[in-house]
Amino acid sequence: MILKKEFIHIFRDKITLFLVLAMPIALVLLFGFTISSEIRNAKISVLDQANDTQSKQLCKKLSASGYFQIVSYPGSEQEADSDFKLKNIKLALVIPPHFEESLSREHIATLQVINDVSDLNVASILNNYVRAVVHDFENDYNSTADMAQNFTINIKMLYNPTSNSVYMFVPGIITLIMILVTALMTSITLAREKETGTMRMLLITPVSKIHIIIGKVIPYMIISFLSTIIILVISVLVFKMPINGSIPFLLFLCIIFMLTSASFGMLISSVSTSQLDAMMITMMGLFLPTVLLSGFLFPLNSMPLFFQLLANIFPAKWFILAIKDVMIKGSGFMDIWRYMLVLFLMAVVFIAFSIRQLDKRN
Amino acid sequence: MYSIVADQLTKQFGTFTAVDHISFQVKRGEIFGFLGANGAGKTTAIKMMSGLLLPTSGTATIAGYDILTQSKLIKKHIGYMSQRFSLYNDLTVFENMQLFGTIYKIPRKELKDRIYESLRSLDMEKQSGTLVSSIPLGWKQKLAFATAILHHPDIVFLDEPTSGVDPIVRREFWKLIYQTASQGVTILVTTHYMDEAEYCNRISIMSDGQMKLIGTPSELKEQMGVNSVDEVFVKFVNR
Amino acid sequence: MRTILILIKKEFLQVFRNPLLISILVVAPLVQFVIFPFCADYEIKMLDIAFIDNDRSSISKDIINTFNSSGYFIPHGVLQSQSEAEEMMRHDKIDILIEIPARFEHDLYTGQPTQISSTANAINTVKAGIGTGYVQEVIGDYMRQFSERNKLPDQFGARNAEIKLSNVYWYNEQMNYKNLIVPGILVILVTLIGCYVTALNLVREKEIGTIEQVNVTPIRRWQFLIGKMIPFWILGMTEFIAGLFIMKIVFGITVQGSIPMLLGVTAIYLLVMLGLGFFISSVAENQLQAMFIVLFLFIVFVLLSGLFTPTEGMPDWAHKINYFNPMSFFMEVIKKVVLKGGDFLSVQKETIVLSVMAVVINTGAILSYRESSK
Repeated sequence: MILKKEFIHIFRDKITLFLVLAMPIALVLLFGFTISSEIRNAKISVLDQANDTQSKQLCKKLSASGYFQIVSYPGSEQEADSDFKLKNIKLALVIPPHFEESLSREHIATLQVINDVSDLNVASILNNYVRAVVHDFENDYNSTADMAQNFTINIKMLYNPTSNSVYMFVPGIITLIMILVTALMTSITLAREKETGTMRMLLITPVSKIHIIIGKVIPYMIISFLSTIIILVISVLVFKMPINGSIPFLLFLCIIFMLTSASFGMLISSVSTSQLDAMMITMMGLFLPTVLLSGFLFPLNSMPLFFQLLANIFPAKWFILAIKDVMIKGSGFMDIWRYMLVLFLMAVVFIAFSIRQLDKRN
Repeated sequence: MYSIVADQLTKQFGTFTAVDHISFQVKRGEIFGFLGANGAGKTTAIKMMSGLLLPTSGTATIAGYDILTQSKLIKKHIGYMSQRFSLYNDLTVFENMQLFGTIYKIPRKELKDRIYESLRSLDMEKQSGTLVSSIPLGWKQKLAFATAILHHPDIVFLDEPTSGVDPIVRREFWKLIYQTASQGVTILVTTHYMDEAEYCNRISIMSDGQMKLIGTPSELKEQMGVNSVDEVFVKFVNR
Repeated sequence: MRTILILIKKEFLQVFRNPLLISILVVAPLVQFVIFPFCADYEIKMLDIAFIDNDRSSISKDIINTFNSSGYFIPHGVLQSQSEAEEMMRHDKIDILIEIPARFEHDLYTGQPTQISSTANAINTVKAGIGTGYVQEVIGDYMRQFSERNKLPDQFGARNAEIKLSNVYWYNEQMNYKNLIVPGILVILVTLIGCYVTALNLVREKEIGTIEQVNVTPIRRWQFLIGKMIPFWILGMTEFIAGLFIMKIVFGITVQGSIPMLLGVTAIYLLVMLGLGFFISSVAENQLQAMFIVLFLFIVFVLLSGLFTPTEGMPDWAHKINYFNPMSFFMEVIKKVVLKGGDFLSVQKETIVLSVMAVVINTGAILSYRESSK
């Protein structure tokens, strides 16, 4: 009965329903297409002080590599500086005067790479590209090769051969959406009932507390389950993400996590008095820590120890570990039961606490 | 000279007609009551007359201004108190009155005088620095009324001002209404308390968006051959 | 004017009387600002690495030592078998595995084809990409030195020029990773204040019904919106200035360009965000909807702004969307002014775009805010 009432509520608020279902789609597509550590056509400047055949040859090689797009040839470092600011170049290469002559007579020349290290990661990626292009150029010029000519590095990307960033964030988005829908919606609807006093009315009816809460929570769990399936379908169809583990097991894992987030939502609503409270506590106490501390966007092991420890108390970390293993490595129950146990215990604790809280008030 | 002239005022929400071609006139200084069950269209009618809602068809003239073209001018001459309490809970009594008084461009000095005068008459001087959230509902309603008439409007719209308030406060509230009306202010009030209807100069009974009956309480009682407005209403519903 | 002043006063009174709102508006952002950069750090400081050495020669040992002393990696020793390595990678004990083939040294000296394998756990592509970059750098350097030391004597007639690269680092000489993320987070916080809080505030008045009481008064809608906007604008600016101080004191980042100019652009940016917040609040029916819309836009803005991932890697359509993303323009301004010391000329384009956005969105907000509904 309560279940039905809640569904009626949800379907009446069509805008919210639309947002809840459209958001995961948009998020997956956005993340999928925009997050990439590969850089193509980065804008660079070449400060060519030599302006001879070899320097031009080098420029040609830089452009042909596909990594770079030479947007200007500044005459001085000052000009290069303004190119960084005005033309958004990411790197400037300085070719010394008499480049060709140095190469042929002294057999040595030094190029200067000016890196914009305001973004260190971009700088280090571009630096590697330059290194590769220049090394290539050197070999071309010498038209022979060095001792290690037949040496190559064979690079393998394990678990994700095409280096597709979808692998990294799909588990993260599933987590975020589940938290947003299940925890946030649960906490807000429960808080709303409290705010308007309808909760008290329900509580004096002979329906048991557990039923009331289950009735409130299940609709949101179903919606977030739908969102999860949408995300999975898009990641498989559009981004060719494999699901190496068993799909029923994966869905079971998601249900466990939904239970944990729903109980977290209950916990929040049991300590807040208004919708605004609930919303803010969910945002600050659950959503942001999930984004930051779940290891989804930012590598956990490069954080200070304190944050690494703090991450353990948020369910998201455990779920992401588990879902990644199942989807990508094809792990089964025996591999990840520890994570599931943690999630389950968290749910039990949260539920017990919120029921006690509910008792206290009435 | 009528304060309110409604002419075939109609409001439709989709296929649902909330207010269905109502026409009536209210004289200056008159207390005019809108009676009807919940959902009869009372609030919608009031919202159209106070410029919160545009009518689907028909028009009305409020204090001599047309609601379709002169809503800005109308707003200067009316006071409004809504069904839900709508002063700011997190402001004090004084701050609320100051806020609305300033919006109506009452000069600073005069505003202060008016606020204290009005609080004195409500016997709420001590509460001027209290947060509105911490005063009892009955007082809140009186306060909302005092705020609505602070700028000396020609017409005051009261939308179920006494719902949920105890009988004693209700009586006090009606005393305020009488006082205000005696100064020549037109009052349009909606209610579903039939005993309150007896206090009005004239009443109209609305049902399904239509104005079914209109007249002084005694006229209506006579017409239906009963002793109270309550019975008028019951008889009307059963008809 | 008096009307606007009293509205501003009202807003401030309400903010300062609500301890929760204060903590959301002031305390939370500042605390987050101090804490986040420690979490939201994309720096891949230490990657766990292990080796399989099938050669066990002096060169293979030398290479392993070079890796271990490079400072990029946490060494986990030389493993015995492929299966052991797989097991470790499976449990996220190592990020990168380097495998040196048998007869590596021999093949190298005799010029026969040989290759070192580098296997990265690529679930986290960023980590794998950067780690692989380090591997290439370490091995590449080693091989160049190796070739130097062992010049082939019989390469008669061949040219043997060498090109050296010297690196110069601009705009962040200390190579501080926090330099980008800290100003970026400041932008995020200012955006949240501007957009989220204003949207919720107005929708709340709608939900409680107080807005109706205001709507029956003769107040003009632009007056009402300005009265709402100025307090939150002041809060946002205060927070931004406090953020600049924290940036300097806690993270040691000094604004390289002109601070008054930076504040000027921020003022415009805040107007865009406030307007957006109002626009959303007039579309949304309740706080929940407003929150979802803001959150959604917010995530899109942040993702496309180039804070966490370089815009160069994005497809064309993402660049096109970015023309409508105020945050990406403002992020550019911050990068240029705070980190590179850009002058007005360098942020002229962004400033103009933001100003246009401010005008458009606020006009939209005023027009869509209705005193009377249809």
